[in-house]
Amino acid sequence: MNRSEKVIDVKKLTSVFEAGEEPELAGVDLQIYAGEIVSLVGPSGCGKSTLLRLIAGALKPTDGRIRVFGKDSIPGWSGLSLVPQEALLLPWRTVLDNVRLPLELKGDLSKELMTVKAKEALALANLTGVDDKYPHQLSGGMKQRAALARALVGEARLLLLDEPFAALDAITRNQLHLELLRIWESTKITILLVTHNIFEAVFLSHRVLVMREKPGKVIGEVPINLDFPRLLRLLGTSAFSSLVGEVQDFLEEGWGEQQK
Amino acid sequence: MKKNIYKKTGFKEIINRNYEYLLLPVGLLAFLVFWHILSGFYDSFILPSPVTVWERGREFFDRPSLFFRHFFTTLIEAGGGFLLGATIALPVSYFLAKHPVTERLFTPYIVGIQAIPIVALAPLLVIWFGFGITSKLLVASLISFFPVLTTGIVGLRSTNRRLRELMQIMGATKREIFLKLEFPSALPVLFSGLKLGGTLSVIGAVVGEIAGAGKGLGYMVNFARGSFDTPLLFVAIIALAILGIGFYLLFALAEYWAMPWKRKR
Repeated sequence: MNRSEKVIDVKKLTSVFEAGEEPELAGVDLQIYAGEIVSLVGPSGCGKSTLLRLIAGALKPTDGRIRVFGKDSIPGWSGLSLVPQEALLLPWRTVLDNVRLPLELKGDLSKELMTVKAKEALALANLTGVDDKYPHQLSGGMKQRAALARALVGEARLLLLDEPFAALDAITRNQLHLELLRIWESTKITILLVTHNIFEAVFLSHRVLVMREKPGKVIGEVPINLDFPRLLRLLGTSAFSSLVGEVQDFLEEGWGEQQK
Repeated sequence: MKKNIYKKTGFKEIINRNYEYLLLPVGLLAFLVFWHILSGFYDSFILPSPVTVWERGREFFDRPSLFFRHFFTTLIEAGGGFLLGATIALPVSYFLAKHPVTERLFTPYIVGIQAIPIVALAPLLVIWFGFGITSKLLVASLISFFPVLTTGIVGLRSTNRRLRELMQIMGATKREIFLKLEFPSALPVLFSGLKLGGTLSVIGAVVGEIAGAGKGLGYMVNFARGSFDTPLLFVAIIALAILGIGFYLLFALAEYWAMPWKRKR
């Protein structure tokens, strides 16, 4: 892995939701390098989604620094794209038009080219034959594939995933895990995944970062030295289990700190 | 073997499949029959039979210009009044949806004006703006203004916050967020207000005409009452029903056209 290019560089980040309240995030440090898949694991309410929104530029940090590709993060920058938890497709747009949306907003391509690119992205996300369907006609897994295609359609080099598989059933979730790894193999796009599913984090990542809550902070890192391509049967191996155990240890450490 | 099930499209099956649509004319026919039987027990002044009403209507149609003069007057008053009311209500609702403080300031007045019965306001508007079409346009626009305004505010406020944030991350401008997100997500609620405003505008026009006018279906109602011509009164009522249903259908059609994603498959 190329450790030279820092894609995300977060230093001493603090985020206070409302003045006078306890900070949601306090002193978060985090570096992510080009081509990496990194997962952020933590209990719900530890501010991991907030951290993602801060990196995406949708929120402003109270204190500290966030740099994405060496620049201060700003909303509306096409270098990164977000896949949210509930897909968040526009209900009045067909699948194809939903995937085209980021290109429309950028507005520097012809209509024909936008359609071609959207179709390419849909093919990459393995969602074909439903171009003219509306989101409510799709299954949960198909919606997430469409959201993935929408995130891949532009020139994003950083993919931020906010618990995108949480609402899916276990089998569909596993399918999408393999799909995500396949997309990563072919694009080598940098991926930051927020999840509370430890198995998902270990299966997909190069590194798992563990957070604790109140205030949110990264308290540990587990490198996942498993070979790619990864197959689902990896889930049953002892190497996998012991890595899951390591992540679990950090999580419990976080609980311990809380009780003090 | 399975194909046989689909091949048998007998009479029974056609009825089974389309009974909702068949019920409509059947229900109407049943109603007319019931009305006709009931009218046998009363004087024509109290309850004329549908046949009498039909004939009175046909007399009117022998001089079509006379009927359509009244019909179109009310149509233009209601339609024009609605357009006027909605055209003012939409930008105001956008402004109030975007400025909660201003909205809180104006809400008591909006509720207050809405609480005044239109029947009480209509005579005043006739005194101010005369017996002509202007006063009716204003009554109709006033009555259709409020449902469009309130649903406009609710609709524009119903935007999913997370979707808005996602579009900001994608780099959408305020204008793009309005056109591609806020406006389409307001449509379902807004259309319920437009439908309500459209049907209310007919009531507004008629109330205005009853308060004082020389033509229109409301004038026909007044005239029929004055000359104890109950069959004519029925003709006017039926014409008004047709107008109201027509307005409603127009909006239902517009709704169907404007929101293809809401159509049933």
